[in-house]
Amino acid sequence: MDKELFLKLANLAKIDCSTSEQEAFLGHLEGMVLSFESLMKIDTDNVASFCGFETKEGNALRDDIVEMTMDPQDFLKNIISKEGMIKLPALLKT
Amino acid sequence: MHNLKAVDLQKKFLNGELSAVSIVKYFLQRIEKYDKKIGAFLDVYAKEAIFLAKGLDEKRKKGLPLGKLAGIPIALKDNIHFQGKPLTCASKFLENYVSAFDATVTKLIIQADGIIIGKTNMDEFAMGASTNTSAFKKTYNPWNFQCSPGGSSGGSSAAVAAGLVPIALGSDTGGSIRQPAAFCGIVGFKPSYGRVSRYGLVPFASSFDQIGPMAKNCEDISLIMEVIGQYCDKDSTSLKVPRYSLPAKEIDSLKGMKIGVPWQFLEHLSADGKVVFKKHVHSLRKLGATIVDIDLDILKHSMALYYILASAEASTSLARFDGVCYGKRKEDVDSIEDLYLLCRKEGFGYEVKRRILLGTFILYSKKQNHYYEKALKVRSLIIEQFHRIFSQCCLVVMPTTPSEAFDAERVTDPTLMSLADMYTMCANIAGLCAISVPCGLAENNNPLGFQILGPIKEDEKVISAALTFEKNTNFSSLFHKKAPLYMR
Repeated sequence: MDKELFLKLANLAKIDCSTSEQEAFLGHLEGMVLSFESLMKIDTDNVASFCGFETKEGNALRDDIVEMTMDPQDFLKNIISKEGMIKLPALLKT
Repeated sequence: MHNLKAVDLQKKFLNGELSAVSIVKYFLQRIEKYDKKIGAFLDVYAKEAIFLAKGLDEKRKKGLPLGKLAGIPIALKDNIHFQGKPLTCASKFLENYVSAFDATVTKLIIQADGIIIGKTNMDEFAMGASTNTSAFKKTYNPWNFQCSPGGSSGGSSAAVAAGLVPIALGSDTGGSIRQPAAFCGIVGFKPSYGRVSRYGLVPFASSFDQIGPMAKNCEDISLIMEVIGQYCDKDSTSLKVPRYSLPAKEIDSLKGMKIGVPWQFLEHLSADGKVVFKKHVHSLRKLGATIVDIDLDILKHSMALYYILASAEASTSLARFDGVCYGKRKEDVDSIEDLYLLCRKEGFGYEVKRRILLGTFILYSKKQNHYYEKALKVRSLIIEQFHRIFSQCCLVVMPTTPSEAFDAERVTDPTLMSLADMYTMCANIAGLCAISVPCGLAENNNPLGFQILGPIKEDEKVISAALTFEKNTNFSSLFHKKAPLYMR
């Protein structure tokens, strides 16, 4: 874990932090990664990865039927909208 | 009234001894009087609750059928959707967000004539073990205001413990119902994964999260589980099992039951904790159980595993908070990129950012196979170990927390605080059901919790055992002698 990797992660996560926050986060992350090392030493040869709690039914699928589960007006109350559409800033910087 | 069981309150309502309005007004007055100091609630729906209560009184007078929760005020943790009401997850990001729909549990409570009285404080986005990371206010432990109520369901726990509401819902990802329940001297239940619908719960880590009840006693836990413990077709992880229903016949003894205790894993228990725990294991023997020493040494890796998997899932769960569809939108930004950066910078607190960054690191392509895959395999090992144990034992018991509630001012390091979840995480890792029942007091008068764990889908067995255990502890008399006066 170094500053370059940290800045890459912060960009991926879209987390903008000050220099002092960067140092604090970096310190914490380094500590956490160190604490993972004992887990990494466990023998897991021939062990299947966890992929959900076993159910007899397997994957829960539903029929592909369009349903109105929410009034669009309730949804629009929480966003900046215009004429029933979500208003966004420019996707590309000019 | 605040020390009556919810089941008894309801009997008094149904037989006309108490009106729903008088019940609601009583609890609203307690909230008004004590919550300024405790800080359990983020929002209280006084007018709506009284209006609903009036409607229930009318229904009762007319002899119309009433639901299982009729007349009972209930609080919801503020990460559970209630249509038309603010939902903040205790985060600035969502401070102006209003729920557009009801969570399944909310709908079920309303259908059962429960009265939702308000939303409780929590750690921001359920990330924490103290309720200190809430962006809005601090919650204090009703037993001792210097101490943390625990987290992340600290508001719900404090509200029940202080008698501000008889039942509250919380959510549990690594212990967030059981740990605050233990710290506040109440009962907290984490159902089996999939037993209670997660539809309408703001996700933190989807393969760990469960909504569950908190109350002062196990009967009330069972009552609300009868309402919320059922299949939901809106939650693809919902278990297709019969609706929760406790057997009618009470269990007075644990005769013939093999109960596992992982003595080796409990080496970090405090001195007080050891004395109290051993005393209660002995009482299980007196009730007829056979105590079996079990090997859960693998759980020493559970904290690392939890941080790897839960943070990875959290970074994905919280990716939706980008200022577009939810909260914290900034108008004066030049581009969508600036929108993402600014709203997440201003909206999220330190702990949430920390976990998102850790999760992003875990999922970052070069590292993914390294930590994430390993953790998934170790998770399988833990689940297998519990399968082996439950083929020999009916239940497993351990303390809920290594010690009693910590000093809220002195313990501020989030990693140190999360050590309080050491004994609770395993239930979330393995999808088990688990309950914390108050069992005693530490020397400083802070409560201690006793945890009973059962296999996935065996929620009734765990609650039955908890009912038997509860009858045979003296916590009720301890409460009446030692709890702060305003709580008694």
